[in-house]
Amino acid sequence: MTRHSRKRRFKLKSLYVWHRILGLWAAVFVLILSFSGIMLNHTEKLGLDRNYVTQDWLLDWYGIRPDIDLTVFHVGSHRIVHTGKALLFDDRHLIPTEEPLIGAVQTGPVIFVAMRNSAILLTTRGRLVERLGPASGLPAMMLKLGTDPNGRVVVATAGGLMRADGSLLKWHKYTATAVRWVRPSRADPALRDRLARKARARILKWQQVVLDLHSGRILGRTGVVVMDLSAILLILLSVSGFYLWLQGKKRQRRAARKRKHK
Amino acid sequence: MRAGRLILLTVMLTIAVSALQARGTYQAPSAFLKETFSGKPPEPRIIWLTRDIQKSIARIMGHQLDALRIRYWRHGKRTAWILEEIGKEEPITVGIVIDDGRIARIKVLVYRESRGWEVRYPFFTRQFRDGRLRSDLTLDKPIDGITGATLSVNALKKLARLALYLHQQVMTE
Repeated sequence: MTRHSRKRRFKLKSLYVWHRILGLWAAVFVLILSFSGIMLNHTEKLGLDRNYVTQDWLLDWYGIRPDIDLTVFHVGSHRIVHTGKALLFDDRHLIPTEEPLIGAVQTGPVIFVAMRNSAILLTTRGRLVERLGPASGLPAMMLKLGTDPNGRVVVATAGGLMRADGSLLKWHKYTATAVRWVRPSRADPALRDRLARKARARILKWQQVVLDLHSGRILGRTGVVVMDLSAILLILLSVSGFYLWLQGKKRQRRAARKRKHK
Repeated sequence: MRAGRLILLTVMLTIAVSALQARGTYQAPSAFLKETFSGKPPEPRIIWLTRDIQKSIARIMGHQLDALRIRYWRHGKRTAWILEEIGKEEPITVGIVIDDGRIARIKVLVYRESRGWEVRYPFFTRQFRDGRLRSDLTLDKPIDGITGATLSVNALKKLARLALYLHQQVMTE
């Protein structure tokens, strides 16, 4: 064996070793990329675009702390709550809305819930009766909500007071000043905590987590660099693999030629 | 290279402009009612959605309405309805006038989706004119769809059938 061929064989052997080591490291990333890729390809079937992350540790990892600005009005034994994003009847989600809650009041068999430019009617059990907007003749830019001495709904708008008829179909100007305005209640800290936890669990979707896992962004900038390096690792692996395969072929051909000469 | 960039920029601008074009209030509901009733809309009335009515509504819409009552405006045999249905993600507000059991007018009042706004044009809404409801709660005339606006087209078809059905109910009351 010549010195040259010894040197070549040593080089090849060390390349084999490096190829194996790189392959082992790359396997971890290949598994992450493959699994997350398959999941992303079936986002809808797996419900990743519908389901929210509720795990505290993962929400903490993303630094999600919702800003909830609670407005609470008590109507009888029930509570109408606006979280800044949605309207709740007690703890039950009613409708998504970012419009400020002006007030809630019971009139006859229904609860009238007023926001700035819209309103909803609820049964006393919190079932939606009707949504009211400008098309329903509802006064625009409502500022305050109250009732007259007969229990009819009165709202204060920039243009003055308006009073609804008994079935909340028509609104007329109201000039009397005998109005009992409703006032918001103080939200107790336990309720604030509970609703904040609920609101936090409706922010991050699983699709985002899998996407971040796929791109490495789940670990921040470092994760992206790691994923980039793993991609380079895969390129190196394919190149070294191809080179080793080529050398093997050459060796086989040489051996075959030698056998032929003998 | 420069020409390529220009084409890309033009395409992006076109997409952005068309998305902006899609959303908007095309007619205020109050203006629609005034126009329908020659400037003097009648007082609103209410139809309560009983269990039987909700069942039929579910057949038309594919889901029950999240409400117990709907308001409408009526003068003689003419009724006007302002109804909403989600196209893909956002509700489309539509004004529908029914005259003696036939669709007299259908108009998209507020469109909130980013695509499919072609349904607001008269070339599409005209197709509904004189449409009636069959006993199986389907429209008695075919409505041609619009490529790329299938969900909005379906929403308008459903609302047209709903208005016709509700009209039948209030007329038999």
